[in-house]
Amino acid sequence: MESSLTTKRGKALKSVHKHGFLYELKKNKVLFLMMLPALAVILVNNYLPMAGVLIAFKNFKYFGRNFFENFFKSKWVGLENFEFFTATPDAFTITRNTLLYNLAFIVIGLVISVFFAIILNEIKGKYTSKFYQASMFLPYFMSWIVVSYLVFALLSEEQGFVNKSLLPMLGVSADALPTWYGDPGKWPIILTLVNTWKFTGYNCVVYVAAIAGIDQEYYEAATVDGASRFYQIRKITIPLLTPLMVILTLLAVGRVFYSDFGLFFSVTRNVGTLFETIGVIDTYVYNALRNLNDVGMASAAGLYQSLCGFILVLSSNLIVRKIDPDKALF
Amino acid sequence: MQKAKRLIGLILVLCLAVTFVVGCGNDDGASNSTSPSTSTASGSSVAADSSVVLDPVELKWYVIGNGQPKDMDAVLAKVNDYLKPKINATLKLSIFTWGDDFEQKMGAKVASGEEFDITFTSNWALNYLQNAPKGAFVDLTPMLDQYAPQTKALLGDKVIKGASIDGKLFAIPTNKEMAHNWGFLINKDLADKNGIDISTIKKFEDIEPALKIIKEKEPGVEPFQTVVGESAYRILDFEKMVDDNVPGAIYGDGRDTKVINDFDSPEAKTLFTTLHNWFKAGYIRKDADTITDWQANRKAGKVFSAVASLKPGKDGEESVSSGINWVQVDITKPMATTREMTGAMQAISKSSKNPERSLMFLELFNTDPELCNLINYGIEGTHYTKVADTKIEVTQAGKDGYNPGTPWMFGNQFNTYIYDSEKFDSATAKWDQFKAYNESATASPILGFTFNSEPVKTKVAALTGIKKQFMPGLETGKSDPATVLPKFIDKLKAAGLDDVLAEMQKQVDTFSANK
Repeated sequence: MESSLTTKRGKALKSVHKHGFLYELKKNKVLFLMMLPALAVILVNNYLPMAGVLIAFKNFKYFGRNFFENFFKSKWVGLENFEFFTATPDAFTITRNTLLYNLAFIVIGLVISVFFAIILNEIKGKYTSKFYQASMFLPYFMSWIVVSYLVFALLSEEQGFVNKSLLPMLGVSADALPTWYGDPGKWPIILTLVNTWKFTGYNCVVYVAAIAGIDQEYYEAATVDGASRFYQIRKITIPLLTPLMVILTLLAVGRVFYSDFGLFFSVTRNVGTLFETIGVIDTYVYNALRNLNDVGMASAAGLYQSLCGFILVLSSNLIVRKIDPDKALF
Repeated sequence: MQKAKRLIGLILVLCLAVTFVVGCGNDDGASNSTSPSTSTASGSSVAADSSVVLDPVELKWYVIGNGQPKDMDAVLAKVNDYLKPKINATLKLSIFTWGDDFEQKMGAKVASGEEFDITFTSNWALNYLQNAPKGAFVDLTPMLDQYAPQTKALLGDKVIKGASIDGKLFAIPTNKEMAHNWGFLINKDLADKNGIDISTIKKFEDIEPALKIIKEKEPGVEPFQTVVGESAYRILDFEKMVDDNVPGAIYGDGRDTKVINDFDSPEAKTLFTTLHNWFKAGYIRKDADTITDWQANRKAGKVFSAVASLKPGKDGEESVSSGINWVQVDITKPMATTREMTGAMQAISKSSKNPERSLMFLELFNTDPELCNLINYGIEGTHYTKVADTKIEVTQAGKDGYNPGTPWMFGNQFNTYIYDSEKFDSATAKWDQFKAYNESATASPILGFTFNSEPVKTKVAALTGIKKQFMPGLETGKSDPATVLPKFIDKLKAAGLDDVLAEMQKQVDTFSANK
């Protein structure tokens, strides 16, 4: 909270440091009091369970009724739990897929949401604009299971709409019909489309709000100077949106080692044949460990992902700060 | 600020709680063995002296099946009326659905240490062979004589030995057929309608002409169903070391004890090729590897044949539970393996507060026909009516409200009634045939062996991941084995297959030497 305040206020930064934390606490005690419940939730929900990462270094077994008892009696095994990760010849494939998909989602997500946010802002009719926005938002509320059945209804080789109605109508012969769930090459495109379709509306909202917050006087002045609509977007809207884009992208970068389990598991129906292009870290961990119920190895996978994410956020923030210190997250 | 103080207080209390547990945790080996033994001691006086009043307890029991039936509460009320005076316990039975539902829920419950008493476990769901050595279940060996002597006698030494891990029994096997064979379940109505003579089918490939007829004459029917989890691969009857997901097995006919990679055997290759040809001919549905709900089509009468685990009267049981007229064709010979001994069991959770009472309940469940039939078939007069002494007919209310259809899971199958539609004259006739089947079975050369995957568990996890990439395509005929099988085998080898096979062989040899 403090950091967002300082970035907004920019120059107020120095005065904060002069007076120190206690002065701030006294001055804004009501604000800090209001922050307490949220802090408590974060502490209990996000920080206390962190001790659990130690399970990744244990051979977790059951000794009694109590989780803590099990935890403390289990033996330390060092890095052994991480081995299933390195033992597989697929380590490269799943890491590559996870990274590439997430990078694609970040870039495409950013471009498309900003694009739609600007377009929505340009629509003059208030109700039409709201209607478009709401209909774009709708897919976000569908669970991945529902989405997976929508995709299956389209692409199923037995009853799918595309193979049974659409393509035959276009004159594709029965032998040339694609086997959607059998061809790994098609899935990077399908998954990117599905993901974009689902999240564009949601990501848009933030940018629409940010655009609405831009001072209208800039635009008025530009209009007086004879700048075209397109020119105004390029020189006013986009530059003013950049800090927000940077923050949202940095936050997304922190999660590039995680993949949306629902997307990669449900939408693809976890079909083994597609593994080359749909296998990501999360689904690999699920497939490898589901039958084993090995808590230690599952924690090891989780720890590996968060560690990589942590390093990535730090380094990308560092890069942003090198380029433009004002726009860095911290 | 008040809140901050409270928060700090809360943290301090938590820290205290943690250190307290650490303190308790120090006497390592001792407490591991004390908890069951102390409870046995306190429980023994209770059991021995019936005048001592047992505290009322509720036993939470989780099993696999077709989901929670509508009338469960009514049946449980009856069960509790019955249990209360006997062991002063009430039962809370939850039935989860097949596959992931049960597996995930129980996996999470076990891992988090959630308190419950009894769970279904087996070599194919909530894996007994992996969870028991990890300490998920209570070791019942020292408690058997005291709380379940009749069950012990009923099961006999062979079964108890077969179900034990390193001489310790962690779950009570259902008393049922203790052998298995594989074959086909065939939709009898479709066969009769199209003039298919089932008696000509003697081996796996013999069914092909029938599939051709069905494909031509019955559009919309799956001639042959093979899906992930209900796979045709099982017809090869390998005796797997871990489970269907992990390569490594000995030949199921007991010819030797050499551990091989079963996916790489000549038999597997032939089968995959046959399946691929059938897939191309349209005998197997195109999206077989994406299907999760395979039962819907079976119940709708849209499946002609499938590979199934068989036993005497399997077709009759299946007909009642699915409402379709099935007939079974035996292909492989009956074998008695660890797989049957651990095929359906009830384990008592380490998290249970009442392990003795749970075992007392299981003892009652195994020895008392009334209780066993109540849980299997519901309330007499409501869910079923008796047509003969031991034969019943399921009423409509039974079909809608209470029809678990899993007598092989619940207690002592030899105590249960049979359905009117089954071809046996009485339950006794059926169970006699079961006993004969058990006796006719050849015992596996490694009966009672269980593989301890602990030394190679990371590799087992990696192999499991690879199996799930390739097997769904191969076992549904979608992948061409000529190109896919070599890739599959290479990848398994790269993931450490040879080390795992060597470890398996080592353990099998040790077991054989000590027998």
